[in-house]
Amino acid sequence: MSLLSIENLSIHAGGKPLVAGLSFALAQGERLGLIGESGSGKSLTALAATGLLPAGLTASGSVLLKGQQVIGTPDRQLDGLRGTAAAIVFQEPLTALDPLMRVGKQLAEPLARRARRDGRPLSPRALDAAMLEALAEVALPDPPRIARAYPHELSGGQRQRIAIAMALACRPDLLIADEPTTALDVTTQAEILTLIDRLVREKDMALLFISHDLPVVANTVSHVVVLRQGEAVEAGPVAEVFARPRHDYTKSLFAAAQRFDTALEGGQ
Amino acid sequence: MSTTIASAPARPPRSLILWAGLILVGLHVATGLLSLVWLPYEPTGMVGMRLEGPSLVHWIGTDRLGRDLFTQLMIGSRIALVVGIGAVAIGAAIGVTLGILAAFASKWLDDALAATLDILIAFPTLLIAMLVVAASDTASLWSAIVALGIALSAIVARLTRILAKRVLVMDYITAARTSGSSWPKIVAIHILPNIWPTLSVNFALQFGLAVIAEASLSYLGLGAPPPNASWGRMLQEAQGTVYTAPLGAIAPGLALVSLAIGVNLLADGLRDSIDPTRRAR
Ligand SMILES: Nc1ncnc2c1ncn2[C@@H]1O[C@H](COP(=O)(O)OP(=O)(O)O)[C@@H](O)[C@H]1O
Ligand SMILES: [Mg+2]
Repeated sequence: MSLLSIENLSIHAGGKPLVAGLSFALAQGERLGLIGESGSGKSLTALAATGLLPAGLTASGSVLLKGQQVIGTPDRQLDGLRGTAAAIVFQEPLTALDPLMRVGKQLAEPLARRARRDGRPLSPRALDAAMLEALAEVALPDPPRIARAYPHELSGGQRQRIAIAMALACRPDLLIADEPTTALDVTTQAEILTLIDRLVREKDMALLFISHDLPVVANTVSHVVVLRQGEAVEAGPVAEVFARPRHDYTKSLFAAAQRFDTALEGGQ
Repeated sequence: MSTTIASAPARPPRSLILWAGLILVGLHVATGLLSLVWLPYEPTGMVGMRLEGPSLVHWIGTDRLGRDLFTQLMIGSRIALVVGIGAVAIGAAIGVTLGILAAFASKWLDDALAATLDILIAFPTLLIAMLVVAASDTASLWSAIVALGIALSAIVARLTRILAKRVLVMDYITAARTSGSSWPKIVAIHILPNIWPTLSVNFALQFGLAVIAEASLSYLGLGAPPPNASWGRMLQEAQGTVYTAPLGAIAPGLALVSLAIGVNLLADGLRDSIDPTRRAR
C-alpha cells in the first residue's frame, strides 16, 4: 500500500483552478521530486496532502495518507494522523520558527507530543536530553547554546536545521521538504541537502522533495513529477526524464537551468 | 558552515523610557495606595477658606467649598488607576476573545464581525460609554468602568483579529499543525505571545483613553459622586473659577496627563524588554 496516494487532485480558489487532475503515489522509503516553476502549485499540493490548505481554497479528488482519506475529513480527525504520518519543512527559515520562543522550547513541543502519543510521556529531564540529542542529530554545534538561542540569533542555515529537527521530532513516515534550500546560499544549500539525504536514509522515511531547481532534485530523488500551471506534464524516473525530456516545458526548464549555470560561470 | 551566533546590532539603551514611565506611574500608584490609609484632610470636609491659594497647610489650595485640593488629587490618583486598570481588563477580556474567534471564524462570520466592529469603532468611545452609563440607573464608578471597558473592547477586538491573522499565516503555525498540535494550544503558545507586544502597547493607550474618558464622564456629571470624586469631577467644579483660582483646574489636568504619559512610556519600555528581537543586549 502506498504511504501517500494522490488521485485526480484539484484545488480551486473560488472558481479558479490552481491545481488540476494531479495524480501520483509514494511508497514507504521512496523519494519523489515535485518540480515546476514558481506558482505552479507545488506548495498547495504539499499542504493538500496533509489537509492544511489555507481557508478559501477547496480540494477535490482523493488524497490517501497512510490509507486515510484526507479530503473532506474534519480537521479534528486529522490531528492524530498529522503528528505521525507526515511533516513539512518550509522554504523560508525566517518564518518557520516562532520568533519569540527559545529554539529548545520549540523543538521540545513536537518531541513531547510524539512521546505522549506513543503512550510514554517524557519527564522534563528526559525531554531536555531528547531535545539536545535532536539538535545534535541535525549536526548543530554546541546544542545547549543553540537551545537557549532565539531564532533571530541564528543563521538561516542553522534555523533550517532546527526546522528539520522539528519535523523529524514527530518521527513521520513521510518528510515533505518544500524548497528547503531556496532561501540559502549555495554552500549552506549543499550542506542541508546532504543532511536531508542522510536523515531520510537513516530513518527510512519517504521524501516528497519540492523544488524548482533541477540539479538539486536530480541528486536527491529517484522519481519526478513535473508540474506546470497546476497540471502534471511529465512523470517518471529521474534519469529518464532528465535524459529525454518529452515535454517542451521540461526542456525549457532545463534550458533555463543551463543558461543560469553558464551565466554563473561567466561564459556569456 | 557558519556556526557563530550572530549578535544583534547595538541600539541605544531604552531604559530611560522605562524609568521615566516607572517613576510617573509609581508616583500615582504610591499616592493612590497612600490615599487608602492616610489623607491630609477629610475629603468632603470644609477644612479651609474658600478658594485659598497654595500654602503650607493647603499645598495646592482649596476649592470653592473650602475643601482641600491636594486631598482630592490623591483620591483622584486612586480612582484613575482603578478606572484605567478596570476598563482595560474588561476591554481586553472581551476584545481579545472576540478578536481570536474572528480570526478563526468562517469567512462569513469573520466579515460580519469585522463590519460590526468597524461600525462600533466609528462611534467615539465616550459616546458609547455615555449610552451604557445612561442605561444603568445609578451613576457609579463601576458603571463607568464597565461602560468604558465595553467601549474599548471593540478597538481591542479589531486589533487582535488583525494581529492574529498575521501570525496565523506564518509557517511555524502550519508546521505546528502538521505535527498535530491543537488550535487551543497554538493560540496559547504561539498566537497570544506573538501578538502580546503590540497589544500591550495598545492597552497602555487604552488606559490613558479610559482615564481621560472617565474624567469626561465625570465632567459631564456622569461619573462617581464625592467622596470618590475623580480628576474629571475636580475639573468640572473648578470650571467656574478657572480665572480666579487656576490651580483648581491645572492640578487635576497635570495629574491626568502625567499618568497617561507615564503608562505609555512604561508600556513602551516594557515591550522592549519583553520582546527578544528588540531587547538590547
Ligand atoms: N491562499 C491562496 N488563495 C488563492 N490563491 C493562492 C493561495 N495560495 C496560493 N495561491 C495561488 O496558487 C498558485 C500556486 O501556488 P503555490 O502552490 O504556492 O506555488 P509554488 O509552486 O510556487 O509553490 C499560485 O498562482 C498562487 O498565487
Ligand atoms: Mg512554494
